Amino acid sequence: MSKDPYEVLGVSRNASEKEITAAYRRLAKKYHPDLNPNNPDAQKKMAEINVAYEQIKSGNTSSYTGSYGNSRQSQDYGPFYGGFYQNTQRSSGSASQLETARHYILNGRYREALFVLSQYQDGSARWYALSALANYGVGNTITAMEHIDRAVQMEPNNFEFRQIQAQIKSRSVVYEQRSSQFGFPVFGGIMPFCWGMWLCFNCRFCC
Amino acid sequence: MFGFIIANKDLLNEEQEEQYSAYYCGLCATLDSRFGLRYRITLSYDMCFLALVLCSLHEEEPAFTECKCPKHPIKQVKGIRNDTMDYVADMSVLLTYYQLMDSWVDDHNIGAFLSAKSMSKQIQKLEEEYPSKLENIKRCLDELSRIEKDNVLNPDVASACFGELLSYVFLFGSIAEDELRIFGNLLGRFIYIMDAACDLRQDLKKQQYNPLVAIPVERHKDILTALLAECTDKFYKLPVKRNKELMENILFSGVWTKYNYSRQKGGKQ
Repeated sequence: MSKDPYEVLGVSRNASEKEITAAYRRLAKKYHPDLNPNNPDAQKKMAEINVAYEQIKSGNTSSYTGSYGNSRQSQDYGPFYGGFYQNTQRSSGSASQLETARHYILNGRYREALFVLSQYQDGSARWYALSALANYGVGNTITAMEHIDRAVQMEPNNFEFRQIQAQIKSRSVVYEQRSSQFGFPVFGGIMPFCWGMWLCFNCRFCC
Repeated sequence: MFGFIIANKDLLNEEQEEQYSAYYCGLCATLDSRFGLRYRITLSYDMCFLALVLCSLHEEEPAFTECKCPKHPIKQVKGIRNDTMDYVADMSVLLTYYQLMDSWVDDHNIGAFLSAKSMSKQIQKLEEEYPSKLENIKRCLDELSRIEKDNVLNPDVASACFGELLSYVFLFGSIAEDELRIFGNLLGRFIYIMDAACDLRQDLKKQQYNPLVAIPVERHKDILTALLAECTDKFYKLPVKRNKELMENILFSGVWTKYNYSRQKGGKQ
């Protein structure tokens, strides 16, 4: 199902970290939907590039021997796109691992839960839901939102996942209610910067 | 800093506006008297907000004093001057210096280098004054530049790092230290992602690091709202004694000013 990540990025298998990142940024400029609103394939292509890039960086390719992998990232954050590209390796035994992660979460031990989840990524909706909870627990709000949305997207009729989604977004709802009482700033309402300061700065040699 | 944490002036009443400008002008005057006229350039609305938060925790009401303003050479303006303002002024200068140095190291911006060099005497003094705080801030900055170089796609990684940095900036005085640290951290996360959202196109074009590059643009607003929701939730844990409505104006409305502006501008292109 997945393409060769090196082919997607257009780099050779022994490319350096720098070359891979440069290739990624070049392709992002070419395909990012925000810069290419008229290209209908941009979104799909960009998603492909993101997956390939993370795949190479996390070392999840059979023959890759580079020294990628930010230790801080793997301990505290876990994978961002999730492990849907490596489900062939570790699917057996993952049910009990997910159960272990769930227990850690119930006891508020989110870092341990994240560690377990990062070891056993089966790409299931349940994995994403648990990952969302664990990430939310350690303060990784963005990853939590991405992962719970993906879990709900995969199993739209799962009531438990929808509850978790509502829980993670509950503060946003409160914020939006309060914010709507204030009203949004209108265009052109930007406060003028004190330009007198610029003049002071530019004559620095006389003061 | 970035200038995101700004009030929505249309919604301020007269008293709030007077307070807001007293903090702004007070900080500006403090920068002048502590460092010299040209350091007034380091003034920003973000740091003005820091002053608002820190001063709001104290029992006694900060008194207004008359300050000189280079923009109004004859008229005197009302400003607030106290120890807290001195601290905020120090942080303004330090953060501006680090930003300039960063711009020199990353982009070889010679103007930034010269500006930073011209500040070095004052910086040395400040570094002796806050040794452990600055050690922590520098550690965060180093980590941040490593994350940028590594091109880490998960936005939580870089935003957490900047959040930690800002938590050290917010840590001042002995009142509600934990609450301040947490609030500063969450605000820092929001500021970092807000900056990324506003600069996305520019960063893509220049092929520079941007933590939101892998996240579809239509999700940015929800992410920013969620980060700010976590932050405002902790805002209500702070034992705020005054100016609560003014700070709410900033957190619930004003912070979106630049974002809405950049979105509208982007839509026209």
